Amino acid sequence: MLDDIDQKLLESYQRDFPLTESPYRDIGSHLGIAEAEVLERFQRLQDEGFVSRIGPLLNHEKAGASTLVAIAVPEDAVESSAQLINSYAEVNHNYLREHRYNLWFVVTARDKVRMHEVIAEIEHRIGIDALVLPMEKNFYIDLGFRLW
Amino acid sequence: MQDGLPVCPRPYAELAKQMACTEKDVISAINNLKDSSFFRRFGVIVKHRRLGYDANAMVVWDIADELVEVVGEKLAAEAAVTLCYQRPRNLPHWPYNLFTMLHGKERAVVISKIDGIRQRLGIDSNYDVLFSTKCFKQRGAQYF
Repeated sequence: MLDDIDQKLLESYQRDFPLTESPYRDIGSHLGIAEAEVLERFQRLQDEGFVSRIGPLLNHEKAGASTLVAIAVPEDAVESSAQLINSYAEVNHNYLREHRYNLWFVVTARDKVRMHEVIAEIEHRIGIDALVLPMEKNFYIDLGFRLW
Repeated sequence: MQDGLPVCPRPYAELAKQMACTEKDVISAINNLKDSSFFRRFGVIVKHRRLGYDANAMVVWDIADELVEVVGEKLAAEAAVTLCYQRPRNLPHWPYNLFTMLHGKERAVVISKIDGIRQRLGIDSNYDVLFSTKCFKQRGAQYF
């Protein structure tokens, strides 16, 4: 179970995690607990799968070439197609959604040439054309995920 | 770095060791990457599903080209919306040009939030709601 301190650790340090020599100690002073307890809690939150990591969320537009891709595969081919898509290191998100276009994944590569190569290969191996939906404009400013 | 910051008293010094530079170098590099918006943010990345946010909907909208800027900004400002991107239509297969993401603990709540947003903003365009039912992969990107 998550207590109030866990909730604060999850919610308050999504955006401005301290960039100081001892960030966990600074978080501890802010919350009125010892550094050791902050470390123990973050370790537990990661071990129990509440936190995927402490680190950067990249702006894919700037860091490389990236696009959302959707493909409509028959129901009995969902699992095998998803595994095929997952097998590419360039695929970093892959979701099943309730729609005729049922597999939605993000391809991020070092450049556009490689990005399109990966998409063409996936289309060829599954035998179905995909929708390629790159971001044209971002309207959202990311302040982290509000939990409570 | 995408494996995450080590959970130890001097995590940036630990990273510096792996990269053969100084702790100061690591901290100033992260600051620079934030300032130049290569990083959208730097901090705790939570797993929505593990926290009970199981209802994850991509809501897609077919907004007239001349309105997309205005509607995009309004949707992005809604509290329930966690992403708002313009993407190309792909006619005739795909008429939608604005993509938003909404998360909630229950489907019914997410749907009522969508209805609320449509009413509040007066959006009568076609839209579709795509709930995700399974996550096959979710991790940071690899560039190199």
